[in-house]
Amino acid sequence: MVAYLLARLGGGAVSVALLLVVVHGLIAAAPGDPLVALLGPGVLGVPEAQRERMRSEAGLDRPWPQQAAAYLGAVLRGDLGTSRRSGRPVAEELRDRLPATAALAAAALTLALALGLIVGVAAAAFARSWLDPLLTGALLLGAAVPVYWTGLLLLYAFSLTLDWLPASGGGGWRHLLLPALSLGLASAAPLARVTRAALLDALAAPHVVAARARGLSRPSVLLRHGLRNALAPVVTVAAIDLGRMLGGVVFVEAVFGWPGLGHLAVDAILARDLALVQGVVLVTAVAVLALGLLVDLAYLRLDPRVRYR
Amino acid sequence: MTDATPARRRRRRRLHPSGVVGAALLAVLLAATLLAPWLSPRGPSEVDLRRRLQPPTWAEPLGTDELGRSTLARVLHGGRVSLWVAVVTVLAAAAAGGALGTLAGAAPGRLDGLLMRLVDALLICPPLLLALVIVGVLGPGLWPAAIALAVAEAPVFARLVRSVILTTRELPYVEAAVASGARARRVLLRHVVPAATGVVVVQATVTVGFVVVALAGLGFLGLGVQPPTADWGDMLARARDHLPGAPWLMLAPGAAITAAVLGANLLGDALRDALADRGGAAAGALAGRRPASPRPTRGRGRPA
Repeated sequence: MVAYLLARLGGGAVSVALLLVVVHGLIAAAPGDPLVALLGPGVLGVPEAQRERMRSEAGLDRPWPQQAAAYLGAVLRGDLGTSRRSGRPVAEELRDRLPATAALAAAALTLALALGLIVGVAAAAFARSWLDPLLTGALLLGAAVPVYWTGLLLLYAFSLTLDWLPASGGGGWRHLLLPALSLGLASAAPLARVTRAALLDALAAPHVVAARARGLSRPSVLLRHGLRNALAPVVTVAAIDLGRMLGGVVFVEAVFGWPGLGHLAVDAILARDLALVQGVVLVTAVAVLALGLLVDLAYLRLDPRVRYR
Repeated sequence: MTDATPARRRRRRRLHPSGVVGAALLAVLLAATLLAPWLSPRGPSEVDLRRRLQPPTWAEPLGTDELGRSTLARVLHGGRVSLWVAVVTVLAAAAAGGALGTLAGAAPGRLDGLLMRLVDALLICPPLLLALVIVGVLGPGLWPAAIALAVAEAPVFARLVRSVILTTRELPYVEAAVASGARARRVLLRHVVPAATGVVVVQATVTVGFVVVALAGLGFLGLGVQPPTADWGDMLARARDHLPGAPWLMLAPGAAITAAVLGANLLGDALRDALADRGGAAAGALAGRRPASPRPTRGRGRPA
């Protein structure tokens, strides 16, 4: 188990390093003067000789593999570079914004899981009634609505028309509710569909028929004997979905002016602040890998037959 | 999936009705954007300052925006950007990713390993974020956004095609082709690669939905289409600025995106089910987007 964990962590570190090198390469291949990309167009006013010296100080006169290696080394030491927009260290900028996005993602995932499980179980429990096609249809539609449109509709209904919740900005749970709901609704639909399908699969198993024959109550059969066995695929989809959701964060933060990493990424791209963009990629990649690992560890609890070596 | 009967019935019918509905939805949308000049009396950039921010009327069924432009005309013409460019983007991603996957699947172990490590590294970055990085490098615009999304989606296709190639090349008929003396290139291109067609088509269909959302989303963020060209995402961004007063502005573009995604999802799901019923080496390859990780042995529910 320890060996497995170490192998996963090592493999993950290699993947993140490769991703950073690819992104670094993309940025190095960008058209235009890399010094301008690093320091901004203001640098063009500086005399050529001085620019040459700045170039060699930044390591831009060295071949690209050396630059990439130097960048990775700096990242390992915790130095992510300096944001050209604010002049502050990238690591500091990320630290400022990470809590807001983490709160948003956690709240959205909680909502998505709660809603997805309830609707999925309901659809499976009433699989032979009129409720199931209705729910299935609603889920198909729900999975198709783009998250920024959900955001705009919620914004219009609950803050601009009813004036129950603030429209924009960061802060307490009142600010968090609408962005989390937009994101959560988008992820709830696929979760509910998987829950329904997995639960129907699980309910067809012989032990469930046996439980029913023994006269166990309907909720007990459904939840203890059915859902318990259906959770593993649900967790898989939740993990895949989470990656997608992290992408959607960008849009939701833009709609609601939520001061998180997504907002930071868009501002960084508009300002062509590429060191900052790279920082966001690093944080996201680490988060995605950590979640994948958590999911695989969750299988151990959900399905005792799973063994990792 | 719970018993064999629906599957057998579906095989006879070939495509589930929901897939036909999805295909029809997409066809109607694509046709509407092509027929835009005939369906809407006014042009998408025709400014009329006397008719600014007007709610829907008989003459202007979807209202007008802050410059008095017809929302109907802009949604229809915007679809030419949002929908058609998305389709082209997915084709490019499938072609590039497919070529990469073929190369990796056919290459000797070391090159294959290197290519797949690279693909896996790209897959840990959410496609949208990867696209954002590339837009950051290329600068905002419609074609940079499209290129970015094509590059961001290509690794998924590369993984998919490679996995099909690895399973297919062990099959007896491929062995037979090799034994009959066909050259390696011919075996690969004529006997192995075609086996991936089904999964690529399914994945491409589903990806169209994602790319429509992402492309419009980049427009929404101001990183995609630049004004005055109409685009569903850009329309939504403008609608937000006029929100309390002019809610009709956000309805049509949002509904158009939703309809396109719904169509792509319905068609993609039905195609996937049809492919799974046909069985074969390829069907198992479509399980998920994440790089392979240990999965429990049973209970892999596909979405209904």
